[in-house]
Order: sequence, then structure tokens, then C-alpha cells
Amino acid sequence: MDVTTARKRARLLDLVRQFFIEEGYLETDVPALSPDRIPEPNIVPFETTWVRGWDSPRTYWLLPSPERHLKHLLAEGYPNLFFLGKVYRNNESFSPHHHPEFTMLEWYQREAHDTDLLATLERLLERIDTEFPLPPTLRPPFEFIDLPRAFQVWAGFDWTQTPVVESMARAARQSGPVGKCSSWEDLWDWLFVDRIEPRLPKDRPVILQGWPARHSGQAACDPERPQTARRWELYAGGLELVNACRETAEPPEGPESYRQACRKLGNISGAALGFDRLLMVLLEKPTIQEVIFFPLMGTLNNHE
Amino acid sequence: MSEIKAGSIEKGSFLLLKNAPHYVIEREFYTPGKGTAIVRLKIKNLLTGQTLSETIPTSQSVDTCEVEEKSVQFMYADDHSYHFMDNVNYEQYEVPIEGFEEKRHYLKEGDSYSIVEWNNKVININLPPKMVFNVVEAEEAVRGNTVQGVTKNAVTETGLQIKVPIFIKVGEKVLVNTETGEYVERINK
Repeated sequence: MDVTTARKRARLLDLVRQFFIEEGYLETDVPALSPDRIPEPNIVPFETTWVRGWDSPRTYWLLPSPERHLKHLLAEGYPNLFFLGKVYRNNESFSPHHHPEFTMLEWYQREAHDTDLLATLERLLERIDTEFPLPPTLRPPFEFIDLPRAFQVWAGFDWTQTPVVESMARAARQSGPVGKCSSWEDLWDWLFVDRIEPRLPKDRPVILQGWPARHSGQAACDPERPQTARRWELYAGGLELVNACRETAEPPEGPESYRQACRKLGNISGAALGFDRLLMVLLEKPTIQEVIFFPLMGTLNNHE
Repeated sequence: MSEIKAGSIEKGSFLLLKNAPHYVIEREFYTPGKGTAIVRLKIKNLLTGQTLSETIPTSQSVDTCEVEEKSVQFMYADDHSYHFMDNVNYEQYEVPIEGFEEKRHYLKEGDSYSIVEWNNKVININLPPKMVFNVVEAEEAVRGNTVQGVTKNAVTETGLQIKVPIFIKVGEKVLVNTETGEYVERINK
């Protein structure tokens, strides 16, 4: 990373931190090492060993997300809070948009709906714009796209009406070949990448809403449309930048202590933003490796 | 024939899909929302020349093509074929122009290229990523036009038509990106 980019990175970190502090959020931190695996079916954590010469070694995992720790704090009565730091994900694709170690901003708002998070995001972008002029790909107004509707238009069927993988595959085949996927969730993802994502506007920020409830991790169901979750994602220039939701009180998995913590959360919404990707978009850099210190190199030459 | 996981496909890989060799032009990874990683490819069917897109979960296996790459020198083209000579054993190869029409203006007599064979058939001619050409024709620069980034049409000794900045004159050498056909810079020699 060149020194100009490094200065901008440092400034943006400062600015984001300042924004949340001024909005009344408490900055928190989480450990890099965790004694348990985080319950996210599609995230593979890095595994390491705590060697203790006097006792048997213990396995630890590098945190792929601060979510569980932060929810424990909220259950203890912490106020609105945020985390801005490193998280680690193993088995991620090696691409210009992914890096196994990356910087994440995660914030939680009490007594808030997922739409309140959107208002916070808009204020954050407004603040960023005072020092980093927002490119057209990130400059509001956002375009709102409802996923059930997008599937009807671009894939020719309504996934809320196809509850099993076979019925979804049959419906999808009418608009073209369908990939081999064994689970409903995998096929939904495949169709999203094949039929929906290529058609999303790339020249302006897009908010995708109406994600499948069964495939939305810790997001609460939308009582008006139980098949969908109270969750939205921001895409800027085709890049997934923010994932936000109203948190569920009944998480699908996790140890009992975590489930108990979730039941105590009340009306809470949280958002995660890929900080390195935000910097990429703001500085119009084509690869994430250009905005982080000492990126791991693999077969990156293919992207030059 | 061997298999690889779709996640390890790279730009420039050769894949065997529906019994036809395909060249990977572009590869992008997506991990939508809370989902699994999926790779989307832009590929070229090397038998038909057709470009298409393919979406594959990264954990799925894909057949690769056993291809052979040879370093060759371009000799000449006639009405139907390009003629190359193997740089190692001097064997000559005749490659039908059909399907490789767009390579014509990048082939320079005596220059080295690599050809890719599959089942004893040439399925691709690889160009160097950037090549130097002589400008043999160029439009006159419009006087007084000082706006940055203005280009004009030019033609190289191989017949390649390119857009160049207005300061480029006939007789000068330019570097061209062979993938995009775009001017890169003037070569001062």
C-alpha cells in the first residue's frame, strides 16, 4: 500500500470511529481467539492451538465475526455499541474482493428496526462525504430492490412459493440451465449469482431487501412476509458492502448461553460493514489488496 | 482428463465442459449474503468461438482439459491459414484462420507466440499481453484541439486499427494491449 492510501485509510478509520462516538455509541473490542466455533454454517474459522506445556493443548479459533461477543455485552445491558477491528475467515475465495483477514465495522442499535440502521448508514455516508467525496456507486439515493420480486422478473418464478429444492429447481429451469445444488439454500445462492446479481445496477448504490428467512443467519422473520427476513444488504458498484438486520431472539444454532443472551436482547438491530471494501469503493481501487497493509499473496497475478 | 474444484479455476484455465474445450476469460467469486462461495466464469468455447457465462459452486468438481502449449514463430498467412514454426524442433503448423480472425492483426512475421493444442487440434493462439507496433497511418491532429484525452484513428503495419492520442505520428512505435486492443504508450526509440 502506498503512503497516500495509508494516510487515507488511517483518516477513514478515525472518521468512522468519531462518527459513532458522536452518535453516542460505545466502542468495544473482542478477542481474536475464541474457545468455541461461531455458529455460521458457511464460514470456516481459522483453527489454532494454545500450547500449554503443563497440560494438554487446547484448540482455539480466530473470530470470524464479533457478533456473538457483542450480543453477550448487549444482553448484559450495554448501550448502543460498535466494533471496528480485524476478523478472520478461512476457506474464503482468493479474489480482488476477499482477504482472509479483514477489517470489519459492526454496530448494534437498541430499540431499533433494520430501517433505523439504514438511516444511520445514510448519516455515516454523509459524514464520510465531507472528506471522501462519495463516488456515484455509493452516493444516495439508494435503489431498493426486493428479492422475491427480482426473482419473479429475472428468474421467472417466486421462491417464496417453492419450499423444497426440487420445486425451486423445476421452476428455475424454465428460464435456463440450473446448477447442481443439493440444498435449497445453495440453489438459492446459485440462482442469485447466475440470474440476479448480473442484472443489478452497478452505477449506483442498491439496497437488496426480502432475503430468505431460512437463509439469513441471526435475522428476525418479517411478520408480514414470514418467508423473508428483516434484513437488507448494500451493494455498491456490484460489491457487497453492508449486511444489516433486525436480530432474532431465537437463533437457529449456538450454545445455550448464547441462546439465553439472545432472548434478553429485546428489540435490537445490527449491521456489519466491510471497512476495506468501503475504502476500495471510496478510492476507486480495483482490489482489496491495494488498501490493506501486507496483503497475503496467492495467485493474484491473474487479476492484474 | 483430471478434475479440479471450481474454486481453483483461474483466468486462463482450460476446462472441458459438455465435451468441448473452453478457455476461461474471466473469473469472479461471489459469496451472496450468508451463503456458500460461488464462482462465475466468462468462458470461450474453443471449438465454436462462442463466449458464454457459467456459474458453479466453488466446491463442485470440474473437468480440466489436457492441453499442450508450444512456443512457435509466426511465418505468414495465406487466404485460409496461419503458418507457424515450432521454436524447438522447427516443425511447421498450419492453423485455419476460421475462429481466430481477430488474431490476424496481432501476428507479426518472425515474432514468437504460443499455440495451444487439444486432441491434436490447435484451439488457441496466445498473444503476448502487450505488443509494439509501427504506426503506418494516422489521422492529422486537429489544430487547436488541446482537450486532454482526445484520440484519433491510426493503423499499424499489421493492419490493426487503434485509437491513439493526437500527438502520435506516422512512423512512431506504440505499445498496444492485445486483450483490449487499446493503446498503452508511445515507445521512444
